[in-house]
Amino acid sequence: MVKYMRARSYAVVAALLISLLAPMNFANAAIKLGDTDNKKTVTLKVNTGVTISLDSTFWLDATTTNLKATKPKAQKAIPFGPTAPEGCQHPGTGCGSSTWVFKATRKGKASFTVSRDSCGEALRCTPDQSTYTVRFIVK
Amino acid sequence: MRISFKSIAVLTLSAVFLATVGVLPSAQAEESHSSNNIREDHYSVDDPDHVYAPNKIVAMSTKPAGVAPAVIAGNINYYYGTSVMINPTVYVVWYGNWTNPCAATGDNSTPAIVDDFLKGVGGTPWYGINTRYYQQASATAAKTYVTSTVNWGQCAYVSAPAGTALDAVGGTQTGDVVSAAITSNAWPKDPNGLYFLFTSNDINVSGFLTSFCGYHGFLSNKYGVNQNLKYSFVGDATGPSLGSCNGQSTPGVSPNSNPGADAMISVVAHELVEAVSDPMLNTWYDAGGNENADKCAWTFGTQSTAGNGAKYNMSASGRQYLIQQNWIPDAPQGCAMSYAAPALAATTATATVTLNQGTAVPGTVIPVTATGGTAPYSYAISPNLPSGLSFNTTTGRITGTATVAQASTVQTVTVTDSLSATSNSTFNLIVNPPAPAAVRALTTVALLTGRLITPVTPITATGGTAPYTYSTTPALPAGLSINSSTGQITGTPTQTAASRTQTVRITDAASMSVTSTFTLSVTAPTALTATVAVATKKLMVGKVAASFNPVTSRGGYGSNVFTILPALPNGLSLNAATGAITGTATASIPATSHTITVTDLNGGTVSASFSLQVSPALVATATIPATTILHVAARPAITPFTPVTASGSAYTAYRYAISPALPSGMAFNTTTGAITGSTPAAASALKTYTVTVTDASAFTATATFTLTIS
Repeated sequence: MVKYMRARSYAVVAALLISLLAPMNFANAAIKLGDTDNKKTVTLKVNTGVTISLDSTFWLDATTTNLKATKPKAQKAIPFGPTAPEGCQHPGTGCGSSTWVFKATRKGKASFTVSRDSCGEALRCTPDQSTYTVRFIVK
Repeated sequence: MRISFKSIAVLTLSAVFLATVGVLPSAQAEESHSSNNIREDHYSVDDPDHVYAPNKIVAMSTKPAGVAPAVIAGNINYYYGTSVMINPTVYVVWYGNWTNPCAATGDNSTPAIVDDFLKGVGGTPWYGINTRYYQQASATAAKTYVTSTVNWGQCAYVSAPAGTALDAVGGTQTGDVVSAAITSNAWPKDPNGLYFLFTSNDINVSGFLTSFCGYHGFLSNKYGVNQNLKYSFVGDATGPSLGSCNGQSTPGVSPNSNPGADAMISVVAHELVEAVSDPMLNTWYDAGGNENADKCAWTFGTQSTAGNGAKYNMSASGRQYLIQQNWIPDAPQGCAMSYAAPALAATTATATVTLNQGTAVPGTVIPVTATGGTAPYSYAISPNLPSGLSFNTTTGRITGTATVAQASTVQTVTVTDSLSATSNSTFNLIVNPPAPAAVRALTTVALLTGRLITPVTPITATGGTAPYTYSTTPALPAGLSINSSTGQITGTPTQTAASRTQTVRITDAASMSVTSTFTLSVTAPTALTATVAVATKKLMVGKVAASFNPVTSRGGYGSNVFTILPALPNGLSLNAATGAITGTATASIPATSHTITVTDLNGGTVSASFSLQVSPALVATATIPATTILHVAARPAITPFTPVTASGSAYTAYRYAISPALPSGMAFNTTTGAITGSTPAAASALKTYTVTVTDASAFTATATFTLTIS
């Protein structure tokens, strides 16, 4: 078991070193990120626009570094009621989305972090649900 | 916490990578938050807009431990016409695997803990926050606040006749269970009731622990109760996911040594205050649709530690509980565990209220307003308002129409809140008697400089309280003044003033005033002149003289007066106002120069002369009144004769005319009036002829004679 883990780790290290030496593949088209991009790192060019749209209206104000917000935070709630999607039929579920729009204005590293405490009506977020973070490397 | 060997390697390589690409200071600081969640992340998505960053391995952090939950910012708003639950009564339905839940009391069983909370939550400082929520029909209607009371209704136990799955599509709904419990237990369909449904941890409610730990709503018609009854569901989350419904920071401990029950209390508290403030889901919520408890979810304020290490922040029914804060809707809004009403304060909104006797109170007059304390307020005023005015003891508003005047009087308004706290403030009340009215007697006053004017009173007063005081603006032109007691304007203007609006203010003895205006101008008079219009006038005794103005005038001050020298012959007269001469002269005069003098109101004079002659009357005399001429066939010449001769008029020479025409052969001399010629061809009977004499001034006279040709 130990041997297996060691071998697997070496493989990972090798892959990383290779990736560092390989040319970067990045673009300057607008980037759209969502819930599945949590904890990822994105490489992009200067002046690239970034839109992050997350499910739930419970996301609070974001913390960013080296990203210039080009629009205020936007929230779009899904009205509750019998015809609402499953899980959204009662008030307080936070169904909807929160969206931030940024632009990478200079080279270097940047980050976006946003948190929430509620993940539903009187439903507390688990630690994994409570934070959304994306890092950026701006070339 | 689990950290694998692989993760350590990844973290190490990540640090190497970040150092390679260049680290910004801020990014370095962020790295310090990296903790246990280290993952390998291959970023690859199908969306072409995404950037593909191959094989990046970086360290990420979750929300740092110990960071306090945050509130959802933004004011919560009330929507007029909707209702809150003023004085709720809770009914409890225990569903599922419970043991005699409605008999439990005082122990650490879940039903006992939950029921004790509901029985004791009313009147707690925490629930007092909900007393800041109200209902109001409209912006101007009175507010009705939620009371601090939560009544305990009834308890029922339903094992699980509908099975262990609820809220599935097409399956039994929680509302069905509540509705059935109301019906089977013959509970009242209480419009102010809140029916709680508590399920045991073996009951699977669709969405429980994934979308909610509980919820509230109302029973619609489909449940057969047709009362829009309010209800709430809260499940027992005991099990691996208890943390999703539990506020305790340390797993396994709770204030009542029953983590599942204490977690339910946290949710029950959440749903209770939401259901009371937003029972029909349309009353109180913020722009994002969040109700009061949503905005403060998982925020607990100051916490204490129980002997078993559990955290708690409120007490009720002899127990401790850890429940979330609630949102205070009063400005500044925010989350708290209690509400301390600011002290009742009466504040003077209008220091002096001035009204007019006989005039309705204009607009909304609330001279003293109340803040703080506990609404509703009642208002009292002292001393009593003047007759005709009313004071609304609910709103503090003054209405009506004062029928008597009142000098400035200090009025004290005392405000009493619902807890009998009082505060007072004062204002001055003045009721003026009716204002005087202005009467405009003259709209225009035109004056000339240098002349004492005839006193004028363009604006007078009526009504109000005499005596009056008059003033005018702008200041009158130099030389003029207004009598402050009568409004009369007198004096001699000494300088001109362009036409302007002069405002006269009339103030009565009660200091009520009114204004009116007139137009005033002062101009300089033009020079007085006299002009000869008829240089020579010839009249005749006995002949009516057509009116004529031998001298005309212009300018001067005011009206002019005409006089003449020497005096006119008898029978003629001069109109002193117009300068016209009329009449029938009875005496003749030779051509004589007459001087007419024009005098204006200011005494200025000018003169001009003309010649006037009155001739004696023109007279035509039939000197041969009847003539007969013998007809002779040979028609010899007749002896000339002058039948009518003229005399008298000084205006020679004369001209003669005859009518009808003389017989053929005879001629009439228009210069001498002589008749000449030959004997007419035929005889004719006696015929009368008229001779008209005209003198050089066109005066005429006539005489007749007869002529017979036999």
